[in-house]
Amino acid sequence: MKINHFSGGFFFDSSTNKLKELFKVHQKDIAYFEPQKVVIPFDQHIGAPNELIVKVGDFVTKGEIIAKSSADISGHVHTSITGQVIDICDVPALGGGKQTAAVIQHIPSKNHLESLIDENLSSETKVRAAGIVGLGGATFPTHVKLNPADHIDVQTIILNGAECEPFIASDDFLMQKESRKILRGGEIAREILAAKQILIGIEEDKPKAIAAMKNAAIEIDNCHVVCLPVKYPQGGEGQLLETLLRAESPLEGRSVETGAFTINVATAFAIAESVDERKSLTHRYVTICGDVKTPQVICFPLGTQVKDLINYCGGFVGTPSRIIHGGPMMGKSVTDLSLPLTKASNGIIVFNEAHDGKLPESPCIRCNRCVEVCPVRLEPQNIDLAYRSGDLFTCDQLLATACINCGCCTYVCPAKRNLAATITKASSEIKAQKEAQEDGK
Amino acid sequence: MANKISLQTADSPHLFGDSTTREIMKWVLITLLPIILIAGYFFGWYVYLLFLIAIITAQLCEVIWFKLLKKEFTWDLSAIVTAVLMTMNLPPSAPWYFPVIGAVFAIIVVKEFFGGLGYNFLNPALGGRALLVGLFFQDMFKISWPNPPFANYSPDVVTKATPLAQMKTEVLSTAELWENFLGLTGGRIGETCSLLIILAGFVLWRKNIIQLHIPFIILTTVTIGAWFFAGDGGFAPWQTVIGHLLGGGLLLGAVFMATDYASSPSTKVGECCYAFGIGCLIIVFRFWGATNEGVSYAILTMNCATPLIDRILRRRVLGEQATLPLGIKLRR
Ligand code: SF4
Ligand code: SF4
Repeated sequence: MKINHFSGGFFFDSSTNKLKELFKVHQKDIAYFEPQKVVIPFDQHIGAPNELIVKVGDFVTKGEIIAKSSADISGHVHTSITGQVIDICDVPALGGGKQTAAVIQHIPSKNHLESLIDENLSSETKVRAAGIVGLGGATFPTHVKLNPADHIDVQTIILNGAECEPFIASDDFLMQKESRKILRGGEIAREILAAKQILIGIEEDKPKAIAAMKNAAIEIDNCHVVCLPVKYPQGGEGQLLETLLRAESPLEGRSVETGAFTINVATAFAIAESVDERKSLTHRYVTICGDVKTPQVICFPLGTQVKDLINYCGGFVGTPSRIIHGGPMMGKSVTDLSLPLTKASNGIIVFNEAHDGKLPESPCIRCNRCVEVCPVRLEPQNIDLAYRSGDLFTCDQLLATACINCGCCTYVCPAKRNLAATITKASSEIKAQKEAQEDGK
Repeated sequence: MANKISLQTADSPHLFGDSTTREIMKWVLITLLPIILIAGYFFGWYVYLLFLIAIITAQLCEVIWFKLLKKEFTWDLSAIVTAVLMTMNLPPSAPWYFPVIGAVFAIIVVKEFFGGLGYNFLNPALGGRALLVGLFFQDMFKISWPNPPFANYSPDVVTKATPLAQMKTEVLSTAELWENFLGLTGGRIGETCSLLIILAGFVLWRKNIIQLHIPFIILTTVTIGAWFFAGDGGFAPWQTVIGHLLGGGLLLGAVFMATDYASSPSTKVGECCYAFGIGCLIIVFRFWGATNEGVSYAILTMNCATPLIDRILRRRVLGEQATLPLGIKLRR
């Protein structure tokens, strides 16, 4: 199969590649972490807020629903360990705010089996019951995605194994270990959507994962593994579509309108587990790496706190100066170590002072490198300039709202300008302004 | 353990590339160095003095300006690049105050008045030169011929026609073209040695500092224009076409001046239009202008059109309906 390049994007510079080598996770098998206490936020998805259905003192078994909403666009939240609800309180949220969560203390007990999803449900309902959301970071409820508008004819299921963020290896390990189940998840999606082929896109720097997936794909018809160049941001949904199918998802629409249904490999795995084994989404893989003693990929119960995982990895090396939730290109910084990990967590990266590379901003020299790399073809330097001079109108004209916040522009900028950050701000301000206008009408 | 450490909130991305403004400017200077050196070899030690004066003046101007405005000074080498490029556009016989006036004007008026690095819509080096032409028209068009090695202390002024003027009446011989290519011809300090300029352009391209579409389009446009207009009604001899490419600072302008970041458009389509415009203007200036040259004025003119190009054109955003070919969108 011929590989196209998506427009924009870039290859990492030598300093990043060195760091990649340094931060590499060396481990044979996945580690399982079992904390004594988990802190489970109610809302771990995009959409309507959930309501809590347990109270302090309740006894819950692993896999039991603790928060849900009747709205369609929502994702149930389950307890990830068996134990007792000891508190319901505000805990730190990503980005500095607060969120409500149930604190569950583990109680070892032999009598309580995992609570499973009802066997008689349809596959789609099982996916909903399992609380599956997009695990690539978008956290959009998967059952909604599996149910596109009637006029859309889905031809292709794309499994996204292009984990393009450097340092993160969660999907890589998952593909090595659970290749069959991932493909099974793809097959289930294919059945539900009556699609024809399954494509799995994996970046070339994961040879083991490619081998494992290829091996498993032989048994399934019309299912192909495609090796992709190690170009950032290959794992972006739009970029993957562009590379594999030369399709562009419409600017104001859903990517599924192109006839391709894209899910992350971890989501496919969760679908398979929910449909075949009736398990709810309670665990996922996370990469803890960077300046910690033993960096590794860990399977953890949702609601585990960052500090517990870092302790599990032997603590910090040096004094941490920056801790990132997610990948180093798109992840948010963690300021409170009691932050609980959720369905959106695929990595925690610790930088100590030696590896924290931020330089001060200097004036834009208009070299157009940011324009070259922007995968959605914006003009970051001009949006940045307009935003800083308070000109939201021009930002909107330059389509700041189309920004996918990939961070390419900031990475390549020789003047070290914080472009992605200002453009994200511009984008959210424009959206807020438009909403306010609509409400006014 | 955990709660004592102080963690900073920071925006994504958390990784940064290796390139810096200073690194870019450093590479431009490195590629300019051989051209500077050969200029001294051709025209005499005196030109080194001109470069030195220009560099010191430009850097001083910048430091003083930052002091006056109480801005924090960053040592980014851009003033030196401007000074060197401006000096390359002076005749070798220029008196010492030419680089001083040129550098002051380039840095203070063309660059800093408009907001400093990156905000100038004109190329500062060419702006400085344009002022000098306005002030000292006669002296600015005095041409020296090389007399290597290291000539006399100061270059001789020779009133001999430059190859560009020569071509109006006669066809250049192959030997003369070779001399043009190697730089053994009359001209301004930095424009004569085509070979080194091409090499410099190649290095800058490999270093990803310039891209080739701007020089390429300019040169192609000039080639076609010269081929058509230099002879009577088309089909000029090939020697004349090559002569047009090698002469009159075209290569220096196409490689170093037209690709100036701040004064060229923001998008590739914009840059292509801009380069095409420069090419056409060069042809107009060369065949119908008052002097035989005009590369620098062509570039300055298109510099003025840059904001307009940027205002009209933008790229088609991913997923947007295409309206014009080449992925161009007209801005509302
Ligand atoms: S990459 Fe940085 S310096 Fe270059 S145009 Fe963009 S914002 Fe300006
Ligand atoms: S962060 Fe936004 S503007 Fe910057 S490169 Fe990515 S999509 Fe383009």
